[in-house]
Amino acid sequence: MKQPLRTQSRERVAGQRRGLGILRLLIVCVFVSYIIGCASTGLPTLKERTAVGASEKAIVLLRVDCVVENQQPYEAFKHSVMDDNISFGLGSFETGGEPKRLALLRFLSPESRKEGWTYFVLPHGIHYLAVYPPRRTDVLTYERGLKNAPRWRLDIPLNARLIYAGTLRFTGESIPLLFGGRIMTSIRIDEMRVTNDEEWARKLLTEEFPGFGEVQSVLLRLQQGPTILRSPLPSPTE
Amino acid sequence: MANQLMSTQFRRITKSRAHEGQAMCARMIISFLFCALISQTGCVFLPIPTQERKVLAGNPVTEDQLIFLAPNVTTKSEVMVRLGSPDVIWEEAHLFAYNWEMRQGILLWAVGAYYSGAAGMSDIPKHYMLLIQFDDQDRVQRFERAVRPPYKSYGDFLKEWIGDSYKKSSERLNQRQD
Repeated sequence: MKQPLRTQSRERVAGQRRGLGILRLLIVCVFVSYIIGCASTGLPTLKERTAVGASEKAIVLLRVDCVVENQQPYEAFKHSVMDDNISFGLGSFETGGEPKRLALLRFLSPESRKEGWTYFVLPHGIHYLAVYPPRRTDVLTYERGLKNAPRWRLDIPLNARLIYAGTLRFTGESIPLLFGGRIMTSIRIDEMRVTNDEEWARKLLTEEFPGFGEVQSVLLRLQQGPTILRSPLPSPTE
Repeated sequence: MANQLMSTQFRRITKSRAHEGQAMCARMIISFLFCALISQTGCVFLPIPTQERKVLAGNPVTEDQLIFLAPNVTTKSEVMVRLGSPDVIWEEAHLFAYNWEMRQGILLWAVGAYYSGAAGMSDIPKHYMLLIQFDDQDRVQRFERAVRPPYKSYGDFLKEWIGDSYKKSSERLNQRQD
């Protein structure tokens, strides 16, 4: 028994649509898998907010203000993706204080990102921050450079929820990019310093997190001497 | 009759269009798969073991340098005079750690991705540590020259070592009681 022509035509069109649908799905899957490593994240998750509310972790706000040759302004977080115009390493008890590359940087808003503000959600204790130019080499060489970069000590006191860690100011060397703009290749370590934009930080943090109480300023300090680690002792039964 | 002829022709045209549609769909899928395959990445890693002669980081501490260490006798200040400032201090555990890395091999690597590739050579480090734990009177309680396995984090290794200290001290206590 033959099907009417219209039915055949409809089935054909439906088949083509299904094929195109599968194709679209495949393209979206591949695209998502490519960009998944470079998507920037926004505000703290519900789980993080709960941890901050319970004083288990703190939201640590930091500003980076850098210039390159001849005092040209250099936007630190221009792309809000991995390997942005500068990158960070963060060390803690787990790493023996050695900074490990931070894959994702987080920002309170696009406007604050443009002004050089970024934030971390960290547990209480001592952390070590390293700032480094963007990665333009293989990971192994880059990690070695990060390990030898100057470390900034960040002490997060117990029960602190909102912390301002200071404004890190520095000058760097840069080279021009093929399609315009410049990229930093090195940081003048001797000229790095931490300044205080406390009022600005307080405004940003209290506007974004009104329920987390007062903002504490604990400015970064250049790490010198032995790396100090703090962590509770394991229980004897462990 | 004319109607029948037209309907047969229409069926043929529809069939051929259906085939064309399927072929087009197949071509699109093949082109997509081709593009997807081109974008795949690949890499090769070849580790070559070497003798531990090259120091990659820190100052190595030999067994001979540890002769002066005596549990319950040597003080923290004596340790600092002989060995210098430690690299790491874990305050809660009264623990000093001296870290150094020796080259135990070379890793040859090559990575290919998209339209580009890179290759290079890296040292494979062996993480050595001298761990010294002090008691409340700042006297050496326990010390060990250890190697941290690459799969274990620094923090986990320290915690495990301290946990091991507890076990050893409780064993000693039990022996004394027996």
